[in-house]
Amino acid sequence: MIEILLAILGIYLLLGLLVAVPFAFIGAKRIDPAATGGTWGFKLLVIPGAMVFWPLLLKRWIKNEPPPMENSAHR
Amino acid sequence: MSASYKAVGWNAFKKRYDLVLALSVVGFLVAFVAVGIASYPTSQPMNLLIRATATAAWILLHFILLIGPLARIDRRWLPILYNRRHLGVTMFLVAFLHGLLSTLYYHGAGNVNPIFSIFTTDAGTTMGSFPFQAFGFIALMILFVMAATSHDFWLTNLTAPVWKTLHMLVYVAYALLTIHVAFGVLQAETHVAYVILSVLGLLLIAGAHLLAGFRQRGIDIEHEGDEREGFVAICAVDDLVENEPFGATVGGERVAVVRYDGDKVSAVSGVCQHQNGPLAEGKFVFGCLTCPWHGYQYKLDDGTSPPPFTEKIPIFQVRIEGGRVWIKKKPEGTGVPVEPACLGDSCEPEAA
Repeated sequence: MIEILLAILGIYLLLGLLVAVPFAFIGAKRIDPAATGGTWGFKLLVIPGAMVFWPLLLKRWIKNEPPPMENSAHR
Repeated sequence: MSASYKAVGWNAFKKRYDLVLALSVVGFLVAFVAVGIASYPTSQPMNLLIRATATAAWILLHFILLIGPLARIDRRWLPILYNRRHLGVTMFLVAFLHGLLSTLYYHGAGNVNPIFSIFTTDAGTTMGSFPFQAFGFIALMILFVMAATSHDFWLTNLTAPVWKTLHMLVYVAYALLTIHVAFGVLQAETHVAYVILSVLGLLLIAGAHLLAGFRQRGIDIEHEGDEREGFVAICAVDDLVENEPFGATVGGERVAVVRYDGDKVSAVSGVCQHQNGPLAEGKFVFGCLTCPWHGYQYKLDDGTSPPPFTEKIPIFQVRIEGGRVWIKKKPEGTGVPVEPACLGDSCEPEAA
């Protein structure tokens, strides 16, 4: 059982890496204007997080969605 | 912030902070291994390095968890809080080194995948079948997600509430690591001093959080006393000290009230747009309310950050009546100009 879970985790992160690299260099600036002109250091720093949240980022990249707006009372 | 993202927004303070941090960590690791070899000449250097990285990461995690409440109890801790994210990433890197070395040392020689081995075989040093290593692995995964999302890009793209919730998982990681330590190294090292130090660390963290929470209660108590025309009385005029923000909760939300320029009083949200920092615990400098955590600033006439930054927080109407300060429960919105209330005769009457 644990072997299956770890294998799924490994595959998920591997797919994440495939998405994260192009996302860091192309996709990030499509969904967040502040990423336009981002430094190389920023792009490299984004990759590990993008490996984790790649389904969310890929969806927003495909739909060209801007950063989400918060709806809490004080936003 | 509105400017383009960089890896790190360096300034002189951050450079000094990181230099001291790096030297401290490297110095600790070198000293730990050197003292270990001197005290136990037969010990394995790799074993000592595994212990050294674990101890360094464990101490750093305690320090990280203590900074938040300490900064609320005593403002002199705020400069340490300012760059806490670098502490967190450093702690993860040291913990990762510990995990990597442990996995290679204890699980790398067999024919089972080392990661699978963590979950399926015991390292054979301590508590028989108790899977303490699995707890460490899961905690390390949590710390990885936190370190990987520490950049402001994630704050913007996950939103502050989600980001904040994600980073509160540090307490889950701490709980998992407490089990990892208790059923791991503390089973091998049976000297009572290690147990006392571990319990002391837990008590320090719990005590500091309880004390800070107790102090915060004063601000978080809803002001449900006198209410007129949608305004709530939050304090006496004399409670306001010039240029020192006053915290209150109105309509279920935190508000920061500031008396400035002698007789003006304005109120904005007490929650910073950056990381939900406590603005009422900040300072009023250069005409702006400044967050104590990372220095994000907001003008008191409309709740916006000074250019080129684009953050906005809600602003509230204020009235001064009967020697008391009244705040409108419903904010006017973000980026909306609102006249300050006035304490003296020099202000426009309708502003008060």
